[in-house]
Amino acid sequence: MDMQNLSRRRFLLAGGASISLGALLAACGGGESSGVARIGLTPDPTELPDAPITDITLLRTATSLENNAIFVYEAAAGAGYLTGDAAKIAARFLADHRDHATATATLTEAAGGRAFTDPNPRLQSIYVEPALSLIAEAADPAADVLALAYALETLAGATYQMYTSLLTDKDLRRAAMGIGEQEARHAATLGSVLNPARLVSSHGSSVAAEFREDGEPLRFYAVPSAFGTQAPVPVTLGPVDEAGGRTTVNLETPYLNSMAYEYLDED
Amino acid sequence: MTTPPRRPSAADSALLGFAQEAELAARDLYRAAATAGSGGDETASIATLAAHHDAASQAISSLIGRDAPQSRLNSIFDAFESRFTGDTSDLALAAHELENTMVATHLSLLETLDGTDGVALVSSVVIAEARHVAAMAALAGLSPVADIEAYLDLPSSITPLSPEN
Repeated sequence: MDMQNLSRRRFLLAGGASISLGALLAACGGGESSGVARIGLTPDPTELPDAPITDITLLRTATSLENNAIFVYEAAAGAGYLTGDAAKIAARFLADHRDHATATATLTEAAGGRAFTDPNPRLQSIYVEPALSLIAEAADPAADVLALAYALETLAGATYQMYTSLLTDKDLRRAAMGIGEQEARHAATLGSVLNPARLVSSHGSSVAAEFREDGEPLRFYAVPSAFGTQAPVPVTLGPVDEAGGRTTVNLETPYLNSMAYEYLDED
Repeated sequence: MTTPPRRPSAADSALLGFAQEAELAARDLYRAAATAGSGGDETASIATLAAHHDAASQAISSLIGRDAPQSRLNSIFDAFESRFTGDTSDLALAAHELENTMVATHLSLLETLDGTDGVALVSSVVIAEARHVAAMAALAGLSPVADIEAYLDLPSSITPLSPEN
């Protein structure tokens, strides 16, 4: 008896569901469009372009990142933020990045691609322009430019490190890391200038207690870790806000959503 | 172009084993320097650089397993030992040369390795050891302006280590 009642209840519920579904289908189906958006009317989806990560894409992205760095050093020089030895070091770094941009562009063309000639648009909009705006309002713009340079050089080294294992042409690896290792030297040179009292961080390394540093890691080291990192690179910039803090920007290596894909040239 | 394999090939393991021997020689040189107190005020940094080379050696060992030789390259250790245990300037200049040699060696490996796991590891070691070069230039008292080439450039005179020489 109970089973029969249950079965009948299920039948009625199922029938009700069928009627409701039928009514919904009737409402959505077939009529002329009024032009007013409603359930059941959707625009045709835009197909995403095919965007494989090729050697050419990696090289173009490397060039774009070099152009970001060139933009920063040229902006800092134009604003007169750096003077004396800091300006001389920055001028050398700028020259190196111009050489790197030329080298990666040449490799792109040798691989059959078209060289990317602009700064990476996404990195420019989410990192570089906000960072330069913060520096313009900073109490000590020179210190902030050096902090940004340290972070950018670290990021550049990390980018070549990551891209080298993605390149399919073995012959490109040495060229890529030959540039990447010089970016790392840029960062280390700045680290040695900004924190000459402790060149090598002991944080994360297995060393005797007498050689360990106390407290949190400092912001700058010539050698911050035993391996090149792929972690975001934080940099604190700009004026002190009402709460007594400053803005920290986390720089990340350009990857899927920020590569200089070849289809970008077709727009 | 064919997608390269991830895991090291047999030829990779031999090359990475050689790289491990070089890393262990570097580790032992920095350990000797730290024990001798050659690093002066930066002895803690010297001891940490020993740990970095040890970490590189262990990472290679993890990648190639039983193919890892677990022994140092004595020719390198012997060539640098006396300078590493001298005064701070001697140590720093010798370490600067050693680290440039390590960078050149690892760069040459990148052209040859088949597996991308090995390429990724060696690339991360290159980044760290390139930074070591600049740190040692600073420890040697070289100017980041007047002597900036010592910080930034891999000298053409540096010869990569190889199993053949």
